[in-house]
Amino acid sequence: MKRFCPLVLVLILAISVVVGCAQNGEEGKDEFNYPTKTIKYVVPFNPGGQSDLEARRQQKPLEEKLGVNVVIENKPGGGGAVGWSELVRKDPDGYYLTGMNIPHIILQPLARENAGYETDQVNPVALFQGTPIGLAVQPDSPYNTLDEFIEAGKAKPGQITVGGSGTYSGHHITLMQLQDKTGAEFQYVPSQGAAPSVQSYLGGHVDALLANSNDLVQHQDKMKILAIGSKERFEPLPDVKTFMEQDIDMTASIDRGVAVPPETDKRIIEKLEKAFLEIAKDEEIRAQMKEEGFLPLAMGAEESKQYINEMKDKYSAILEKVQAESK
Amino acid sequence: MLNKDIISAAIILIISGIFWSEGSGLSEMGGFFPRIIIIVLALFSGIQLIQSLIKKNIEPAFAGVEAKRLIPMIIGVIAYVGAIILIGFALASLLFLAVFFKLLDNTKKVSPVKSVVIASLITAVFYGVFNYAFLVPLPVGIVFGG
Amino acid sequence: MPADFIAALSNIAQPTNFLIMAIGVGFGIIVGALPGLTATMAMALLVPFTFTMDAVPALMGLGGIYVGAIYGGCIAAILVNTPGTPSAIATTFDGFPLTKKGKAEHALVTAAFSSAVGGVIGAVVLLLLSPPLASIALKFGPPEYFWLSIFGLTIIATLASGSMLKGLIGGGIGLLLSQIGIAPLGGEMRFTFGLYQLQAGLSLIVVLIGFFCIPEVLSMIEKKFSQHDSINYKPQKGVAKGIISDLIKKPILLLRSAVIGAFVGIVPGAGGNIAGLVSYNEAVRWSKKPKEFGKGNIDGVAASEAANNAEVGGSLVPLMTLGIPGAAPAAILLGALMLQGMRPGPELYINYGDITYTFLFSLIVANIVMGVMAFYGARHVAKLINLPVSYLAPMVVFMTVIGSYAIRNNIVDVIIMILFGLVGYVTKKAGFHPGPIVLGLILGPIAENGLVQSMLMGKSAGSMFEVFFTRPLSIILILLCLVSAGWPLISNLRNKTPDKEADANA
Repeated sequence: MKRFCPLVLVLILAISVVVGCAQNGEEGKDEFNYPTKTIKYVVPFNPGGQSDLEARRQQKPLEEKLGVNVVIENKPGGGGAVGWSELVRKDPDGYYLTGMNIPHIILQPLARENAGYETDQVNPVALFQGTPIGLAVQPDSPYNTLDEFIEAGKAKPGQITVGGSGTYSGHHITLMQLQDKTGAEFQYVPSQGAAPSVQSYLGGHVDALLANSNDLVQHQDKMKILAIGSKERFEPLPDVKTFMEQDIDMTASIDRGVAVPPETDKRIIEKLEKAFLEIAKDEEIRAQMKEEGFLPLAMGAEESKQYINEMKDKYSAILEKVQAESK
Repeated sequence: MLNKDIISAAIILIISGIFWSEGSGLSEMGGFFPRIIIIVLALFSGIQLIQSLIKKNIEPAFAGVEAKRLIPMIIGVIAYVGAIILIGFALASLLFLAVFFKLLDNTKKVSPVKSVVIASLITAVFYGVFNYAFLVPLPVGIVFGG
Repeated sequence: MPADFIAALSNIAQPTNFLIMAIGVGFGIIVGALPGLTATMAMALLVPFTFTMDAVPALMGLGGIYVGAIYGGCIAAILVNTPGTPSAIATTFDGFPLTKKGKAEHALVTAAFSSAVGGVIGAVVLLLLSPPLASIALKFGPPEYFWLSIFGLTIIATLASGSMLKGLIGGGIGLLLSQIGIAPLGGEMRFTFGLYQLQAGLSLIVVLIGFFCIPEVLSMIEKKFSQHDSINYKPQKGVAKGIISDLIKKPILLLRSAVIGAFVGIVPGAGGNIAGLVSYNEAVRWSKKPKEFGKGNIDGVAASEAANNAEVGGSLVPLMTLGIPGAAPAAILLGALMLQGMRPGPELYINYGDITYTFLFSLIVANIVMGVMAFYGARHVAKLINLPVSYLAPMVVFMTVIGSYAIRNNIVDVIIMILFGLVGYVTKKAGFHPGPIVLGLILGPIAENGLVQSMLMGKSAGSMFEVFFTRPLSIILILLCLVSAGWPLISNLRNKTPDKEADANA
């Protein structure tokens, strides 16, 4: 035992040094001093994905506007569910933000019994990027308009394959909505992610494809795009009609934003909201987004919350109907 | 006579059973592939079970292992992870490294001071590199506000 | 085009550009060597800078990191039996036994040379053969992926050292573990036992670190004077030269491995890990002394490393010509290209010829830079193994903990890693090799996706048989599966015939 005595002493010494250092970063109690220390910006997807790139685009301007360091941390898994489950369990001190994707945060708790979080717990700060979802068919396909495609889906129910990314995802719900509104029936063939589904389409393994606007822009010369899910004409694809223009009352989009834990102080949210909206309204960033095939958005906290609730009502109605039919 | 092959085959059979019951509620689409795997796995481990019941002379699994050295390490590793959750990465690593540098030393040449100094250095270097160069913020632990 | 070539070469020769690339390679090697840190993560770290950088240095830096990191994975694989990146799984099979024999430098030099050769071949394939190969990549639909994964599973026969039955069981366990989490099709939670943390599934890297590394640490210390204490690397003169002249005499081994690597790379979704494993399998299959593999044969290291570095070039083929990122690091490159306003596809070569060719040539140069760095570093790196076990064992545990945390910034992964580490130690003692288990884990999702998507296609086409058995590429893959599974029989017959065929790789 004697031999261990010095060891214990030295250890205690070392520990006290480390602890001393760790407490240096203690924050002040005054809320108006927010932010005073490094903010963690969590991306619930893998590095290199669109959500990740978007966060990294905002990182430097955020640091300038907030005056503190912003660290990006990827916490991928479960299509974002792991990151959001973590978010809703964090302290609402404003130093932990997580990227938020719609409709993911709406559909996951609806589709899974134990997603780890509820939609209402994800506390939105802002929405800054929209990705309208479009429907495309092969260039040599016999269908030239959305109407023809829908008619074929009615005449040959389940015989036309439509590729897309994921189950209970933005693409899946878009197809469910389309089937619900028109009565046509298609065979959905989901892939793990947008890139594999585009690949499957380009290889001719599916008849049609639901794809994000950036993929549509990138591969537009290899597809006939029948419709797009934006509210108005989508600037980078001016010739493509929206679903609404073609008398199908639906929009379809994947929207990216950022959220904080539930019960975060209003003043904190306002401060973050201001910074994110300023970046979202930056002309250069807007131009970059359009060039890449995205729809720049600038929706604040309240507006985002309303939008989420609106979409939640819509989607739960569709899912309930589909689940009732399959039983 | 129980030997490692009988035991391992039996355990895998039990695991197959547990997974089968856990997956019993899965739909046709989500349950098809896992069910095939479980059936195949159970089949192979069943064959192994029968084979190992017939065959004799299977070497014992842990021949020559010194439990005196192994068990502290296993406990230490588990305690290390628990400590990270509680007191954070830096402190837990410092403790783990210092204790085991000393504990595993056969030559008795390593002084406690030396082991702590080296452990602190290693922890500090990696903590710094990961936090500042790789931008991986390491956990700080519940005690110090996770 | 010639004008683009000249512009490209002068771009690369510019000191700043070259330096950025070389730093990228060095940084990549370090990141790759640390288990849990991947090429993807290292490249993502550079992304914020590329927003303000010019296209040429940005792409050269990213390419350098990619090349360096895939090589770097072999260092931990050789020294402590832990693949630094999943690409280096097959490198552990012979690399670590070489270290145990005191031949760490042999293994590291082999890896350096074959990585460089493989990497250059892969980059040349990317430069010259992209368009035709990309069209082959597109032919891979769901049924092809299914058959490809079945072909991959036939490798178990090689990986199961000792007992074939245990190899098959191991493969089954790996497949079963791959099912944990959200079902890729159907979206249900499977085998999460009520824990929402498990819906992310098991990360391959976390399981790899657990299964390969922790059992090794425990074996290091399980005996008071373990064999590990007798591992002693003594620098010898002439090792490097000897190894390289040895490898140059085996051009077919290197070429075959590189071609396999590049081809696997072209198929989106099949990464360096599969490339290395398939190539290793073929090296064993075509060797005259297959029994020597797994015990420290430099051919095993060469096969794995040449293939996984050739895969880098291959994985960029679908990206550059079709805009489809075939691997995670390629996705980051896509992001970087788009940021510069460069849209991958045929017009990339026309509108941005100089930048595109600069990038492609720089990959070749990066591989050579990497080879030189690795070659001169080998001796110093090998000395790490001379640390006494009392230091080495705790430090390796420490590294595994950081690595498994860093991969997804999740403490749950550390718990899973330790758990699988302890399970791995016991299963190893019970005679199960970790190889088949991780193979099952890698191939499980590919097999399931392929199978279920094909069934959906079959449902809509009205015929399952048509989808699975009549597509030309599927038929080729089915034949490959049959040959591979039946190979033990074929080789038995071959050995009985007295006249031995000449085999350049013996």
